[in-house]
Amino acid sequence: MSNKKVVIIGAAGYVGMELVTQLQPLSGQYDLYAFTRDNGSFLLEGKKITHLTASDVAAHAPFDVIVNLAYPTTAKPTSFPEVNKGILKTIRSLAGSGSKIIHVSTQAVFGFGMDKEVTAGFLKNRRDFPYIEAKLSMENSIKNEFPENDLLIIRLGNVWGPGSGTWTGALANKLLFGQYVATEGKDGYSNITDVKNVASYIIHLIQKDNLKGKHIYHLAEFSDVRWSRIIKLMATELNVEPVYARVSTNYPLTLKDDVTKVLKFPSVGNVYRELVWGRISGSYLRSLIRFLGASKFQKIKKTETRPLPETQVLSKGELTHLDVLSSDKQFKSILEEDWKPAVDFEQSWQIVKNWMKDVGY
Amino acid sequence: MSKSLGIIGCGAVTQNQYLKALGMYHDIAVKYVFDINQELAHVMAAQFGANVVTKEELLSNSDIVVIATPPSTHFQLINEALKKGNKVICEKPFVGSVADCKELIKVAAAREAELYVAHFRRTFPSVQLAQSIIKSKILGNVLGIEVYEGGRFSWQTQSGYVYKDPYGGVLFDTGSHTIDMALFMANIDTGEFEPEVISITKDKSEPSHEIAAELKLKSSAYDINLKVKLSRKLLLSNKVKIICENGYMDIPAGMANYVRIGSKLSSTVVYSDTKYDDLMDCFAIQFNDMFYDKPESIFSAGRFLNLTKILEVIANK
Repeated sequence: MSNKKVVIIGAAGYVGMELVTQLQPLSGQYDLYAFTRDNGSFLLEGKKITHLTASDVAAHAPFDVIVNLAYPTTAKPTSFPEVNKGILKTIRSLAGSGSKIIHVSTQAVFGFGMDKEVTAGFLKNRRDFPYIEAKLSMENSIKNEFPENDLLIIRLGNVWGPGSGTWTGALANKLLFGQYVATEGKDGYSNITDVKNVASYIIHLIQKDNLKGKHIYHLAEFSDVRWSRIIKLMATELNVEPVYARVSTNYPLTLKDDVTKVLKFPSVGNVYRELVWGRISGSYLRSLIRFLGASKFQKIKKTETRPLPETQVLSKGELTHLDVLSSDKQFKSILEEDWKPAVDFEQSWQIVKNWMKDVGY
Repeated sequence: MSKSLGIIGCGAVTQNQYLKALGMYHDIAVKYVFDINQELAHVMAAQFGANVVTKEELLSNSDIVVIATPPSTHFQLINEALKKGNKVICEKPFVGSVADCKELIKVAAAREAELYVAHFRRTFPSVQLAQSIIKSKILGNVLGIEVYEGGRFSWQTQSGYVYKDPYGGVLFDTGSHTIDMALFMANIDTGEFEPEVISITKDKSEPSHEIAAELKLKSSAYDINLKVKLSRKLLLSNKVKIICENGYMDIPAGMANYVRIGSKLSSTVVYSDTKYDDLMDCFAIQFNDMFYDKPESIFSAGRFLNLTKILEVIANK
């Protein structure tokens, strides 16, 4: 009997590279294929995996299992819907009627501060931050595009591990350089999942043959660990004192709140930034800006006198970060019962601690 | 009267950074564009409001020439531009060998032409702050420098030079930035030193994607230990550490306005009064220096000889 063919879209990403590493001992059972961005394939040099490009997909399709880890990340938010369409097109080109599709999504579909009701069912598309809208829309698009296929969606908690950009690297740097790491008096649930466990769970689903129909999983095996514990561990390692913000992130905001906030400082640049990066406009208006041409806004911006921000002014990204760290909602795991995590929290922390030492912290 | 500027190379850096940065000047006009990819040249010319010309026409008609091509082409293009008497601004990394570096500095001097290298991270407030602290000798003499920069590679290169060109690896790409920051902050980018190899490990020959190196930088005035760790696969701490007689300083590799200063007893974060909210502000400072003939510019080619020595030693291992 021939091996099952497994293709990973986004194999050169953070989760993708761990998944490819964990799949290496199984390369006798599975024929592994990677679909990466053009400049990502060299990251997988030396691994037992075949690189696919759009032009040679037809020779290998259909695949038994398609794992989608790709999502809009580097493009401008106005292009997110287009990027999603491209990913869908790729999945379509790889899939057959019997393909099992494993799509990796995020807890952010419930809001950055988890302000929506958490349910293991499909959610309606809604106006929100571009990243969240893109993730929501992809879940629904895959469901609608592949009604007959087995579809397993894994919503991940905050993915951490050695070299995780947001939840280890950024946190360590914020601690080291005295930036706000959390909001004073708000000790949120970390809702974290270790990258090793994410890869392990995906492999579990690849191997399990009796999963039919549509399933939605939530993976945050260390969700009960509070941020204060993680911050204390890292701060001790760095020999620094954490700095806490005294700000209110004020989520969830209504459309009226969003508009009022923009009208407080109605400069062209501010309005443009809110329309593109904020959640005031929703994906339709963002697409409209894209077709109208962002350069028109940029030309107007050139004539603006832009005051230097005050030291303590927080960016939207920093506010979002604080919002996630302040969430008092626990994103509990909903998983196949026969899966056991590859690492527990103590092991996970030891790995992160060793990484910190190794990379210069 | 405005000066005419010509750009050679219409890849990612021109599209993402120079298009915006060069549009900020009333007296400098991007008039000429050249790229071996004609289609790309026409797209960028339309965006700049410039003309697509041959390389020869560009060199003959421009007052200022910006070279933003893959690094292995730099030497020849700079050489040609200098010989036409142009003011030349070269995107980093400058060149791959000390011999090439010295030759270009010599050509520029002979023609009384100006040659700059766009290591814009020197303008970061944190870098300026760190340099002034080291210069003040509050921390004493510099004993060691550690450089860490790494993350999964995501730059949307047009030519693919980052994994084809021998000067496209992590060392010349992001490494040249961070090592340059370190030398500048430690005030050892001027005056000459000789690098002595203690150890170098790489994932492969150039263009490499992962490097760990330890060197000794020796001059009559100092003997500084340099540790370099670079990766395109794994996120590193992305900072420079400067270790001095009385303490140490951590400086972020990215744009920031703070550094951490510490000793064995305690540490604290120190802020610069200057803060930018856009990388373009740093480009503007850099170009002001280059366009308006600031004497003893921190971007003059001569200030990158020591950097090139380090890059060459690590690259050839």
